[in-house]
Amino acid sequence: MPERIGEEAVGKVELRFRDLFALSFKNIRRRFARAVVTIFTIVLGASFLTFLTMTSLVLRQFAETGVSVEAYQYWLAFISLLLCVVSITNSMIIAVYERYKEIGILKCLGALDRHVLLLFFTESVVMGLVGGVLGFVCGSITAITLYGFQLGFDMIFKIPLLELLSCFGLSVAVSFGISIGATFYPTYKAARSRPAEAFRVEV
Amino acid sequence: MKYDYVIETEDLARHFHLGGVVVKALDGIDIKINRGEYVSVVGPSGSGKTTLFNLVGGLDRPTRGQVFIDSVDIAKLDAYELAWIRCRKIGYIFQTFNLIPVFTALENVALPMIFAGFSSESRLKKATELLRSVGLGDRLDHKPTELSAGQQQRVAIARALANDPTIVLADEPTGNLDLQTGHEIVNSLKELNEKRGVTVIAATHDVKMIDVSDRIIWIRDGKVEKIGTPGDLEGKNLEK
Repeated sequence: MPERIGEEAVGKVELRFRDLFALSFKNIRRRFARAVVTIFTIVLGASFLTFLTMTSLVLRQFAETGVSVEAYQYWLAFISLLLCVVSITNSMIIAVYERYKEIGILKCLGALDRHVLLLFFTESVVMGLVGGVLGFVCGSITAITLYGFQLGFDMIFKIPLLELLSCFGLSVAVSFGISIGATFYPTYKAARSRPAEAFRVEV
Repeated sequence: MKYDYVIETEDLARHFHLGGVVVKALDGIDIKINRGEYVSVVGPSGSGKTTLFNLVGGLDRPTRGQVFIDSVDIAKLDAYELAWIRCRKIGYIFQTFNLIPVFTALENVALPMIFAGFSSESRLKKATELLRSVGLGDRLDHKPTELSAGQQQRVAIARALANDPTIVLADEPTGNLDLQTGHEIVNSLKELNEKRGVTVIAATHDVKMIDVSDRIIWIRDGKVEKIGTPGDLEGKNLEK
């Protein structure tokens, strides 16, 4: 393996963390409308999940009130959640494919495969986290309002903080996991392809 | 050790399998490019110019044969070394410019310098200088969509020069431009060839763009048809 090419030693190719974050944030900011759509699907999924976990929390606290969940409602909930997961995956995949050519350009300019992966990952981590947090806020507000009117608002203070935190954790973890998972495959495929192939792809 | 040829290809071939049919985009190309030369690769569309451009630039892998850059077989390089070559040694110019649409002219030109590890201040300083040198000093913060086609190609030229490459590969750089803008682009390529000693390889199907070249390589159906100089064209029908 040559350590020299011509009269020159093979030097460094790098992407510093500062530049990585700057590039990722710039991308999100400049494609704000696109990011909002992607984040919105995550928010929908996460708020739905939060609503479900909050419901089960509330019902457990108030098991004696006679309110109960029918089996078919669990199925409905499960199917709806599945729909959210699929739509998040779909919008993340499309967001990467839209930029297939851009990945080719980055590689022409000297980016390594892992630089491309890191760039797209940072973006999807940010979107996943923002979506997870917003989703938790939306879902819990909906749940609290709904059950507050049914069962009285003082129940808010009866929900153990730890369980509330675990709801929050679940919402963020699921959003994070799905957005990373959904970004990985298309980005990996795009980053590994030769630039010439990336240029030929028409989306 | 002396490197006579900056680029050398040996029996270079690239076949594509399209719907069960083998298309021989390139089929046995042997060319040698001297350091500091301006070479035009001429041929009708579909003759294999872009495929040659991709192979020589390390953007694609050949089906057969080798590409040597400074006498090093690029098939033997690992991903890191190949990235370094793309980053520091070769500047690419495309027919469709291939700028990043959400970045400004300045950010586009500064992008390759990120991967070369330059500091943020030196990137901006150099990108500004490069854009000034191609006459876009007043368009630094414009995005590609806010620039004319000719201006976009000049941004692309500035970007190609960002890391001081020794080779500039241009694939139909004037293909999307009108005649006058095309001439301006070709003249600026010639200028950087003369002033900076950069080896320029420009593919074109437009014979009006080749009078600046030191040598011309005609390719047809994936093979070298002939190699000559602009002088060979004198007295001949240019459109032929």
